[in-house]
Amino acid sequence: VSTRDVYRALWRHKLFILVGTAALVAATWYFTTLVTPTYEASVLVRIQQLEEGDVTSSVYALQASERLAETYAEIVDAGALGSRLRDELAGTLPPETVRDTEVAGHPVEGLDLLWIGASSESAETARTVADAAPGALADLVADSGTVGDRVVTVKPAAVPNEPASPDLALNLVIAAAVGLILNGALVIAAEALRDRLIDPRRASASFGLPVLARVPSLSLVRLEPRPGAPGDGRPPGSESGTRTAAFTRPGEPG
Amino acid sequence: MMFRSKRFLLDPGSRSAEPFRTLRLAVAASRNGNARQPLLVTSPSGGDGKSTVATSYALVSAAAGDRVLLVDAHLRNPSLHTFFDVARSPGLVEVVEDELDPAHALHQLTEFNGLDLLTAGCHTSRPGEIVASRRLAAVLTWAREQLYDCVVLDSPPVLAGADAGALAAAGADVVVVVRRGARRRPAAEALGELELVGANVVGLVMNRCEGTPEDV
Repeated sequence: VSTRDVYRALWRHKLFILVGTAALVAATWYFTTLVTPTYEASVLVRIQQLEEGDVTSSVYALQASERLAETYAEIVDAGALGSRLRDELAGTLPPETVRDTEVAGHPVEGLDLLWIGASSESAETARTVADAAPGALADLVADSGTVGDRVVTVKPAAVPNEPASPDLALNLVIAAAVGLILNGALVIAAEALRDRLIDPRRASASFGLPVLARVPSLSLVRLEPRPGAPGDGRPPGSESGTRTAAFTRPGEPG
Repeated sequence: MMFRSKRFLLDPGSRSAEPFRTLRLAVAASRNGNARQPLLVTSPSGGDGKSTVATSYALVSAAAGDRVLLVDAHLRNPSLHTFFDVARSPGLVEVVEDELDPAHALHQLTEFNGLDLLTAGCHTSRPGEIVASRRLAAVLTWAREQLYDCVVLDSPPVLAGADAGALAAAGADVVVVVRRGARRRPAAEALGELELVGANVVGLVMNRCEGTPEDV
């Protein structure tokens, strides 16, 4: 199949491809709107160690803080802040709302910084929980007996304007791309199969000619070589005329 | 010259011959009494099985009592001499180019119920001129005068050159062998070319269908 054949097949079935793609995009739009939007608010915190020293020890302190940020991100991801956040936000948000809010930590690579994000169906709840997270983390650090570490809020969370998920525009673009590829592949596959002579009736109808016979795999018999045949060393042409060889089946004596 | 050791033929008494009996009846029915017309067996492209179909058709017709002349008109890549294990030359090329008497070039295959075979002959650099020659038309007329009931021409593929079209234009009825599962477009192009030269295509033979002869 040449590139030209593929292009022609696609062009011939462009309406099918477009309608199929539009249907997939519409279905994606419909199901995306059914999904409850989730808002995400994030707060940026710095993990500091209180020990001071010379420049060399400051570099070590930064490295240690960076590792601490990674450690605290894992602690946040493990859900260790749950009960402390509920305590922190008691009277502000119902405990079940806080419980339903997902909190995650993402360390900033190469720095002693940590993003703490909160995801909720309410933008305001997400912001409130995110802003309470540094305090909850500080309490956790203090309760663990680590007096040298300090959690400082660098950038408080803002109320998100757009939901983090689902991303309707992204989903529609993906649906359009997938629709075009799938429908195009379907057209090419169907065209490849349709262009084959499989069914005698269809072949007959297609060409306007009768199929006079359908020949299956034949069971042939072997004609045994005879003296004077081509390849036996005698000159070609010396054997024209009447012959007396006969059919023999494979395995039978000639 | 290189010979292919292809000495496998259809036994006209076997079940495998059944599709060719059907083909013989269908061709006879399509001719409306003009039974002495040569039958050209061709295909869109090589490897579709036209030589096997032509040979099997000739064998079945001969077994049915017809006087049959099988002509290897595929001068570019002849094969019938290997089917019957006979010498390639003298044959059609000598009959046309050297004006050899066709009767002297025939292989009378008595063990195949009197089937007569005219092989392709020696290699020629101008097969297109030979198949389009008046001498070939005269040979076909001679065959009719010799009271052959059936003259079967094994032709080159239609899309391989102009030979098949030239043979078809000589007044033969044409059967086009198509391979099951082959692409439709070459068959359509071949039929289009045959239509252009005014060939009388009586029908198709679908080769390599699934199953055994009794299933088909």
